[in-house]
Amino acid sequence: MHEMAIAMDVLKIIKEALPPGPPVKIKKIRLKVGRLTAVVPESFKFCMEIITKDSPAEGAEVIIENVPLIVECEDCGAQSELNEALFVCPKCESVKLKIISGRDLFIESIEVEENETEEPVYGDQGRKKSSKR
Amino acid sequence: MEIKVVKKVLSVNDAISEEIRKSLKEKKIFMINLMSSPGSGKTTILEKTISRLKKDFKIGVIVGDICTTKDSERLSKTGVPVVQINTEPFGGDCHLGANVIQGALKELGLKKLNFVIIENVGNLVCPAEFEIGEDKKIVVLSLPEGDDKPLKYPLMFRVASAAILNKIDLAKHLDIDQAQFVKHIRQINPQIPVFELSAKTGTGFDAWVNWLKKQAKAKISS
Repeated sequence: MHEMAIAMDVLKIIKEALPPGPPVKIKKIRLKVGRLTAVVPESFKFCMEIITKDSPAEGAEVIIENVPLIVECEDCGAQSELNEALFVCPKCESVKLKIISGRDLFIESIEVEENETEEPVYGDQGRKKSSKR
Repeated sequence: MEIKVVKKVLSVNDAISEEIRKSLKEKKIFMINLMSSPGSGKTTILEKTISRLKKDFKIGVIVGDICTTKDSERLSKTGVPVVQINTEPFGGDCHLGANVIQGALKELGLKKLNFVIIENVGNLVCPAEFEIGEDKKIVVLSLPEGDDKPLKYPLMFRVASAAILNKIDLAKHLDIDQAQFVKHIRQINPQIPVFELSAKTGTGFDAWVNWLKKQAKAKISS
């Protein structure tokens, strides 16, 4: 249910990340979501659909990359991926585990629509403007 | 064109949570965040806990609910200040965010307090994801909910610093194995203290109150 709060946060962050200048359309939003987060991808995508109405991200594809739950054992030092809710080192059965990844919840990147009338430009923004027909 | 963002979602919430944590550290105020599913007995636990602690600590309470002021009415009877947060009258937010807590702490007034208790919205999922500047997260599970809940909602049990297993007075009426509850909690969080108690009868309550006192004193006298 808190997916709506998260979606609102995501929209705020991507609006801030947009380049200055004329409005652009966001095509894709890539996120990394850890296994040990309370985010349901389907609910989150649904909330994104609602919250992005009339925004530059309306209709954008939301791509979620799952981040595995990796722990490091403080006793034997082994790093292991946990696939079930059992916080025990698979190597030495120690319970002293540090979470290395899996609590992640961040926006990786966004993809915005290219202006088709423009040639691809490498580096020099000034040239891009002068070459406009 | 791809634009790299690489920004943590909820970073705004986390930043406010850190502000709260810093402010409470300076003021030497201990704060706990009590979380559970609806109906596990949070309010009864708090009524009893507050009445046991109020001579030793200056307590204030923040109660989060989607609607009604029933919990704050009950807790007000303990004689400590209570601020009720209603997230939205019809199907509001399922958790308390740090910004809401920040406002409620102002309303509560911290000058005369050294112990703040937050009773979060009844929900085993969402509140686990939101840091609110607390010192300890405490999760309550009650016997009628079933021993599989820690395994179904691992995040909540993983982020908690202590767990209360409530309603043990009902064990004789239920077809359950109480040891399984503790086993499953420890499967997710092996080093967590688990207090098996009945808030109704008071059985097992001493260990919980003593632990809480010790945590609070450590912070307040730091």
